Amino acid sequence: MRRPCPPPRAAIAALICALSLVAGCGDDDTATSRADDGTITVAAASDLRFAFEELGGLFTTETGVEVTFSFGSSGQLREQIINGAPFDLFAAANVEFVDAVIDAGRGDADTRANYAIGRIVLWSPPGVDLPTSIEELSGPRHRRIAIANPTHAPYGLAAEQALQTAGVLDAVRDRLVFGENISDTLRIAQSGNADVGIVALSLVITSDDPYVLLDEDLHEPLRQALVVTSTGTRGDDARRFAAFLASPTGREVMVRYGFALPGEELPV
Amino acid sequence: MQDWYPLWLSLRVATTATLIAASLGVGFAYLLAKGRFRGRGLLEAVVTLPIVLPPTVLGYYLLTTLGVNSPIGRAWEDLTGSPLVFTIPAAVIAASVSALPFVVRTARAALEEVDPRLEAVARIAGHPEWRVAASVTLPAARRGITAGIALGFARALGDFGATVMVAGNIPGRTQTLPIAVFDAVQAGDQATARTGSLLLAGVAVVALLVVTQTASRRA
Amino acid sequence: MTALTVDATITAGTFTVTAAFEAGTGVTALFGPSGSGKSVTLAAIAGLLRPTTGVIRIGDQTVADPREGVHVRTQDRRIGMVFQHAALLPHRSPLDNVALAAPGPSRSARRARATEWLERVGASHLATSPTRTLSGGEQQRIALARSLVADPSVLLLDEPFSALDGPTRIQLRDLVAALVADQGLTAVLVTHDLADITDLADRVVRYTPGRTHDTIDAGPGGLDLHRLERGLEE
Repeated sequence: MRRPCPPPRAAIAALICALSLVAGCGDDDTATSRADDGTITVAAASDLRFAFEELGGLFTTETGVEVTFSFGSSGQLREQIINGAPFDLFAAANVEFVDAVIDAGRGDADTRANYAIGRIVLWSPPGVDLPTSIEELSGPRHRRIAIANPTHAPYGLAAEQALQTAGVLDAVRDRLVFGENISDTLRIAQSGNADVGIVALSLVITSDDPYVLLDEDLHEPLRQALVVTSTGTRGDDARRFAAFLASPTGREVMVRYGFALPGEELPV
Repeated sequence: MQDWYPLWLSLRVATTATLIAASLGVGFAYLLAKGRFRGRGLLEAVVTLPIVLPPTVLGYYLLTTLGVNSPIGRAWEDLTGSPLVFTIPAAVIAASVSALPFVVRTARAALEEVDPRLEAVARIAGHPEWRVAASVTLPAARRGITAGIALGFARALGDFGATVMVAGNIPGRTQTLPIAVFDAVQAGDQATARTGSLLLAGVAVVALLVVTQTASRRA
Repeated sequence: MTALTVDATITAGTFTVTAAFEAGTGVTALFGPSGSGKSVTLAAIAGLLRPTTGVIRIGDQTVADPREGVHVRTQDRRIGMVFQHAALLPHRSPLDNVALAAPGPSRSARRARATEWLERVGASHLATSPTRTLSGGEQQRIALARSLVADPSVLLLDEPFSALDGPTRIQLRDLVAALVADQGLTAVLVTHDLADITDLADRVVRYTPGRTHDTIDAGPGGLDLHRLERGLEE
């Protein structure tokens, strides 16, 4: 049978929707069409959520520049920035992903800076016994263990390394549940879908929940780096944010959330 | 809920995406149901792909296909002055692609059910193929087609994985309602998460009801 | 010039039939056991199926010849077709159903032709009745009008009376006979019913499973029904 032509109604409908597509985003703020109106967008690893939200408020009070945060796994943010995401600053949970952004020509190498060192902890939801050490995870009591996805979340990679160093990775491998990023991982544990999670210290330190800090020798140090990814007025404001992060005010906030600062002693 | 932007954005994005998925989807469904042509198997595979891929993988492929390093992304940037990714049109594309397979599969099944004798009669009467489609085939299949479009809308409204990859989680700009709910959960904001989820479910149910009621009333 | 020549092999799914016969003015019946390929043959004449080999000619036009790459679309063949079930568009009136198939430069011209044909099939009074409320026999009258309104070269009928009750069947048969005679039509009728053959057929093409066997003319004494009924045991 001859191939039929698509009905003309479909063609008309396609035309209408193409127009409405254009119309529907008429009032959309796209990246470079944004006015330089004293707002910056920061892509930040999920472990920074609470610390940066506090910092953001303080920064705005001091400078008048508004900050919008987009939290996610460092790997996903890296992919997005390399492919054109219009963030002004990228604060990752490691150094490699920041270097990848710089190598792809999307970040200003002059602004690359280490700003924090992260720590991981064991955390259990209420009602579940918190293990006293990482070795205990190989026992039968903890049926599901949540960690962040090691391929794109540095905190997940650190968790995996810690399990490996402690000699229990093979025993627990089929009990692992992956979160998309480190705060997703905490959510999985909080909702009871896992008995225990290896999560970022910075996400649980300000709550009253008990946790067990994992020894930093168990994994590669979680050195966190940032880079400014835009230019012009926004780039300038982004640099101000990076500077604020390194200022005494900024450092005080970061320490309160359990981060160690580069060049200083790690907190206990 | 203090911020109504995600809901408003989701409604705009889902409606536009459904229009796109519906017109492309019904067209593809018709080709697949009625046509015999060389690339048929390939078209079928391509159209089914978004269902088969995990949403974040789909989002990743969209990101590399539409991003600043791609031909499409560069062309868009030349035309409009800014990148395609991380804009509302990108969210519309992600939602359209996710919704498309639902429209195609449901519409195709409905089109294949149409009594071939009705179409034969129209052909014997001398009507060209497009008129056979317009006056016999599509009207006869309208309930299935409508159902497919309704499913597509629900899918477009609820898309998360693909949208967040290619349009990003930028509050006040590209943060659709599903993304806002996820973000609220991660921030420990249960109240917002609950409200947002109820709104999403409510809108989807209302839309489905409206569509299926009008379809059956016309019958 | 013969009105219709069929000399082709047609495959539909896993089923293949080879048919060879000619049809002229009057009614040519295709007769044989279920599944011998009579309806498939009709579909091929209508252009709804393509033969794999052979030729089909309507008048002096070759409408199907796979070796020469000829396939005239259904739309371009001057045929009319009536199925077992009328297949009327349920949301259009009987008049509209016929008018949609009518030729003519304007809508009113087409409706005029349609009205004329509704009259010829004895269905004028049904022109605006809701299609869904029509009886089987009434629907078949409309279907007949629709299939003839464009003045086809060949009228194809695929078991057109088998869904009708006895008395209606007789009426419709008489109608077809009258139309064929009045209009000098060439009609091909697929049927199981011997009464159809007795009343209508001028010649019978006998089918065995998968192919045509021969053609028997209705001589002055009528057809030898007994021989026909016996099938092809001899």
